Amino acid sequence: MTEREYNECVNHYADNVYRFILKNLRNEEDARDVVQGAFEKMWVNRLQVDNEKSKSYLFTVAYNHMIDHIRKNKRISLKDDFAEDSRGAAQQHSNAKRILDEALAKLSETQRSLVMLKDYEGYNYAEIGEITGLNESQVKVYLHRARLQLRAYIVRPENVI
Amino acid sequence: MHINRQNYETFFLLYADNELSATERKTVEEFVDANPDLAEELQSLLDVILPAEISTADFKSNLYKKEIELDSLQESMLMALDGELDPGHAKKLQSAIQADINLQKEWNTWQQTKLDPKDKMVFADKKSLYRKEEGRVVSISFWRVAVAAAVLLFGLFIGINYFKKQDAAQSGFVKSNANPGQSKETGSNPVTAGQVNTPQTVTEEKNANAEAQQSTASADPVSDKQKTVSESQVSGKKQPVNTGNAEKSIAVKAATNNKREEKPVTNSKTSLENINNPSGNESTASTVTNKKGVEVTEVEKIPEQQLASTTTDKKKIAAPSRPVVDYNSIPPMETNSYAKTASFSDGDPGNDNKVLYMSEGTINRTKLGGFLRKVKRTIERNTSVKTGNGIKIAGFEFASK
Repeated sequence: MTEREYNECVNHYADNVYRFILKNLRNEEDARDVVQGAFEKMWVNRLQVDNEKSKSYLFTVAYNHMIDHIRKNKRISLKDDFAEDSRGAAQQHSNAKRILDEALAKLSETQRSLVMLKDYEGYNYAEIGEITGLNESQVKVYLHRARLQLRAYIVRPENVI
Repeated sequence: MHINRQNYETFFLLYADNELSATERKTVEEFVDANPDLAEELQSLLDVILPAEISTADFKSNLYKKEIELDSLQESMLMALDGELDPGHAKKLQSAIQADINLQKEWNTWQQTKLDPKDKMVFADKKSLYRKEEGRVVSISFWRVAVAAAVLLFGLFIGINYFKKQDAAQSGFVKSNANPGQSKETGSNPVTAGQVNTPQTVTEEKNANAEAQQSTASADPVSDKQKTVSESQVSGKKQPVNTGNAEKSIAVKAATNNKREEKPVTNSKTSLENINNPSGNESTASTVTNKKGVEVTEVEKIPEQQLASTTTDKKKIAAPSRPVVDYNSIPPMETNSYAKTASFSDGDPGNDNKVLYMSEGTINRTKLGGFLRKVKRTIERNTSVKTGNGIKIAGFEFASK
């Protein structure tokens, strides 16, 4: 990967990676740090990175950084979840997108990541497996469970519009 | 095993604890049926047996790990939602959904679980992510930089001096050609001016008739002079004729300017003395070599009368400072062009003709040189360092003269 190709990667994928991480971490500064760390790693290893696979490499690195970050800040993450829950209970959700975001927040990191990699980035099961380190059947099962949970949350009486 | 009214309690306890075999349990139950008064006692023993209150069924079901159990239709919908269903099955599913309203509702609900890719988030600080490969840095020590700078300065100094000299020399030549009156101002000798112009006159038409020469002589003294000089250099056959023509022109000139006739002669003598004498006559002096390689001072060949006639009108005589006539390059007599016969010897290494530049002493005094001399004097005064005649910069000394 050349310098030009790397900078093109920044232009094309920085927003996507940022969205992927921010939706998982729900903290802008942390998400920014993770994204910067991922790009930094890609820059350092640019000679080994094939430009064709730069996007999946970037998501893989960002996903691993995110998991590390979550493990390091588990307590803070739990507090965030609590705050999110209390806030969610207080508010009347009136639109499907908001409800879906809440439902997404209820999923585990792995399930959430799978759903986002599938829906936002359009990866197939095999590619998602490469990024997350799971095999294809695991991706399929986890993803379907995640869908069931999302559906269960959406059809709850208090969330039905 | 034999059960009777004396040992029935033992059998009843074993029954309650479920320790009897099926045959024994059946024997006990037949005994109770035969003795209904003992049935109540058996029931009381059974009642004190603790029931299995905590069912582990739900707990176990949570512990079980199993592949997701979906009916085929639900799984097909999820696969279709992920875009992983093959086209044949997808078509069948679509037709089934369209046929059933309940399936349509189900499909709509599943679609609501799909995230919208248009939901963008912008990473604002992309500039922090851009990278640029660092170029190879070659370190240069200070003394190398200093030497390079000194060499550049030296080259610049030499170059400027060289070009200034050239420009001054060229401008001096052009001035002397362009301003005929300069000869008078600088005290140049008209005779030598005539010599200078001989390159042009040498190639002038040799067959011009006398009338034409007369008219030209009366109209333009310069051209007249040129003709007279050319006459002195032509071959022996034509020389007498041309001399006659020259005499004619001189006669015309003499008639018009009798008073001035003697002055130019003396001037011509002075110029002869001053030829090749830079201190005496800086502005005009040149020698001409003829075809045989014999160096001849043209002035000597010119008759005094011609000189007198050509110098009568000093204002109109041009006095170029350093032209050189290369007779080797002059074609035979039939050549008519002026331009072909004149050439400069500056860049011609094979030419032995000497060139004397005009005011060379003043040309060397450039502004840059003056500035450097001032700098040198200032440094000497301030540092009381005595240097040579040159200018010292960074350990190098440049000759100022």
